[in-house]
Amino acid sequence: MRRCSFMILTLLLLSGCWSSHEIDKSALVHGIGLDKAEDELMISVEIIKPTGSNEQGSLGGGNVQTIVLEKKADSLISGARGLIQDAKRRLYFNHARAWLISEELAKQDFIRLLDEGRRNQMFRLNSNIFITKTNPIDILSTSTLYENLSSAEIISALEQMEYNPEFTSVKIFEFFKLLEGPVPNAYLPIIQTKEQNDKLITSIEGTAVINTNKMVGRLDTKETVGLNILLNKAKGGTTTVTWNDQDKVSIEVNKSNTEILPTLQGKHLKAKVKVDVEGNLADNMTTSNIDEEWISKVEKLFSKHIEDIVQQTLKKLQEELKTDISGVGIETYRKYPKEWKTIQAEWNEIFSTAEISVDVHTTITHKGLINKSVERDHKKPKYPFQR
Amino acid sequence: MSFLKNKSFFSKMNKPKKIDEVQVHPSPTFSFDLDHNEKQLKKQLDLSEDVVFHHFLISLHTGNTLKAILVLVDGIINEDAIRNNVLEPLSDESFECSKGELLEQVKKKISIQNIKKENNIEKAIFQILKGNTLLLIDGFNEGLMLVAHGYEVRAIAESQSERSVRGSHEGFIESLSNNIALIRRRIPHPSLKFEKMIVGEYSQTDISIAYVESIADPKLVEKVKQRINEIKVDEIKNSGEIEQFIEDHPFSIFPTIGNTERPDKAAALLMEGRIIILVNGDPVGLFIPALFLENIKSVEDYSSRPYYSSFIRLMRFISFLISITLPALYVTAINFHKEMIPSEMIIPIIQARETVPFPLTMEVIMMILMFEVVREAGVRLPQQVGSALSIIGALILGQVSVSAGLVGAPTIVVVSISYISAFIITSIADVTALLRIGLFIASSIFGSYGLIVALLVILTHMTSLTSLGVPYMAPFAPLYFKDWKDSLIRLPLRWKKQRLKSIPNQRSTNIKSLPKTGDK
Repeated sequence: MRRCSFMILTLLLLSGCWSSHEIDKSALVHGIGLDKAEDELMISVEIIKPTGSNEQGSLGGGNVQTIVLEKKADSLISGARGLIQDAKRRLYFNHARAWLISEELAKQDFIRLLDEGRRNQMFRLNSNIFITKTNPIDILSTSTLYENLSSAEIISALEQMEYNPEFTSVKIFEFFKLLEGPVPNAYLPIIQTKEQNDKLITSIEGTAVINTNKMVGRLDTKETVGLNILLNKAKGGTTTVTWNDQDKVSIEVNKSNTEILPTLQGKHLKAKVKVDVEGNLADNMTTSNIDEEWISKVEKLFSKHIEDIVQQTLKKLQEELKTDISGVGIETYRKYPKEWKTIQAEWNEIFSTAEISVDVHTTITHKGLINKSVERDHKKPKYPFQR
Repeated sequence: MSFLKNKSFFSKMNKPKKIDEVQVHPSPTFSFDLDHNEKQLKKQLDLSEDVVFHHFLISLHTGNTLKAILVLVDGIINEDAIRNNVLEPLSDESFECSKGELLEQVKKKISIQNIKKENNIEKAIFQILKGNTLLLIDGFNEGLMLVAHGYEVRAIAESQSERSVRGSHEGFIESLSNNIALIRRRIPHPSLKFEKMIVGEYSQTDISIAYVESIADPKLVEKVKQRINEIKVDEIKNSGEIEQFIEDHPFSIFPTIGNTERPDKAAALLMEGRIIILVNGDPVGLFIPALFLENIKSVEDYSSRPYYSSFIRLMRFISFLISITLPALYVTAINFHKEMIPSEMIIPIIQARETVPFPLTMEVIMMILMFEVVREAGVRLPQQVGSALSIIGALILGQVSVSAGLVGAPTIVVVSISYISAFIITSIADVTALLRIGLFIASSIFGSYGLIVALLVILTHMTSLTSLGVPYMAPFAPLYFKDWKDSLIRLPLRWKKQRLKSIPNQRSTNIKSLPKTGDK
């Protein structure tokens, strides 16, 4: 008995509850913002505000449930520790789901600043990363529409990509995977505030293009659609074309598949982008009768329209930014792994001079519940007992 | 779980202790003198007002009369039988026989099923006190023991602790003979044996060991009988004491002997090759061997279709795990691994924690103890005050403590779920309550490491248990793969043609043949 109790007592001495930390003595960070402040780093954090549950009152709207703090520091970790002065509690980054990086910082060599995010076990690799136009604290302190936290709301938007290919979604591990891949370029969604009904709201607009370790330019919303098609990530959304220069016709995309077929001749690249789009007729503002002939005409219009979008994106990437984030590089690497070593260094040059043709094939599978949009010459059923 | 480590300590305690045995002097026998006999009996019985000495006369054909006494205990004898079948025939008629044959004649006249001759005073007294009636006639050194006890017994009712929807609604009662009859009615086969034993020097408790001779393992039966024989105590209060005296691991928190109040379950268990121990005065029968798996089984599983039964069994098992680990996982997630909580869930949790003045560990321990108090109060409380309890329990513990900011709502949810899950497996609810607290303490000190180590210790302990030599964790450890058909899930009865191998038995085949399936 004595030996037994001695064993238990020594067990208690061995290790205490050193890793135990009460949740009401810690501050949980939900969003991290990084900005440039002269030579230093400006770190802003969005902390979940532990309001008592009976004080909740008005749900949604207004950031009653967040605390936004800012601190200048040399590095991310020193900032995190320094913020204890202001937050009065130890900061926990376990739930940091959004990283916001200001454009000014992103235009410098900013990748090395993110090292901590992968080195420390506290951070999640599946958190999303964004570029902001201004100081990230502006985004973090913008009032939300429904969620409690701004950063949570931004992230919930990314889950809706199925219905809208106008923005991209990049998580930290995906971001580093791109940077450590054969083509060390990456892209990140840009988030900014805009005014609507006298109220500031956040909105994801466009994509930042990152060449090696700094941001070199941005794609607007339309070019982002082209990028998503090239990356085979556009799985839904609507596309609208103009019929006979006046009326609009839209389709809702169900399926979309992109294939890139590169052909390398020395240092000259020819690539073929094959896009197969399948969709339903969603909106028909024309008066024409819907038949096979009309559908095949509309399908051609859509193919042309999508081709234009993709070409526009490629043009911008090739001529203006000279950065390959389109997936052509990866396909080339897969097809010519031996030749790749010799051309890797000058790949961005090769890409910018490459001849890339886009071939889109659109299929409309359903025309919806009605045939013509407005049928004025309805034939009423004959009343059987009419005189 | 420290009780595993130090074996030598317990083996010392296991050694049989010396009991001051009451010296049995050569017991006196009845003499030929009735007055002397009466005095002998009264010496031991006269201060008890429930013992009645009824004097009457037996007339002989010669005209002589003989004095006779009936000694009985008021209230535990069948009065009608004694009056109509003993006193009436004896006092009405005159006996036409010699004095030597009188006792035989009397025996013939009395129409009571069981009459024994008794000449030992000590034994006679015990018989009287158990509800038998002693007839002493002047001039004989033997008495007639008339077995005609009759006392008030409770009507057979459904057991409150083991109810059923589809199945028998009979339950055991306090009377041993009725309980034996309840089982016998279900297995009217000569192979079903009820062996009688008496335990307890003062309580003289009747115990019946039931088993089906051609199915049960004779070694196991012998072992049970031997262990019960070795019990030398003054009294047996209930079957729970027998359970603790004969089990293999009396210091484990897991019971290795099962109990049931249902005769249909008892009959089913007997047919599996088990042994049932019935104790007089207790409506709870014991069964041996009991496996851990028994706790998630129910008799009703076999009467409904296999799909739902299997689902319910899985639910019972999962509930057991949830019940013991949920508070532990909760404290682990919040105090040690905050990243394990889903991000959407963290906001309400933080907000609930913020107002609570206690550390999480204390908050949960407090709630567990309070729930335990409410549960215990609910069991023991007289029904008239029951409504007060439910108001206090539901309102004070649930709502007001949250709105007063003393306890967080998530804590109440976690502890409540843990308790409700335990209610689905009532047979080991006591074990669950202890394991819940044990695991919670381990994980509040050492985090998930503590939780995993504690779970491993429990599992190791469980696999080391035996129920009178039968492994407690069968059919998982040792592995009896064939028994898995009727373990966590129950496959159709048609596929279960063999008896369970986990329970030692002599007759493996259960189903010989069945009608073909389909309309052919």
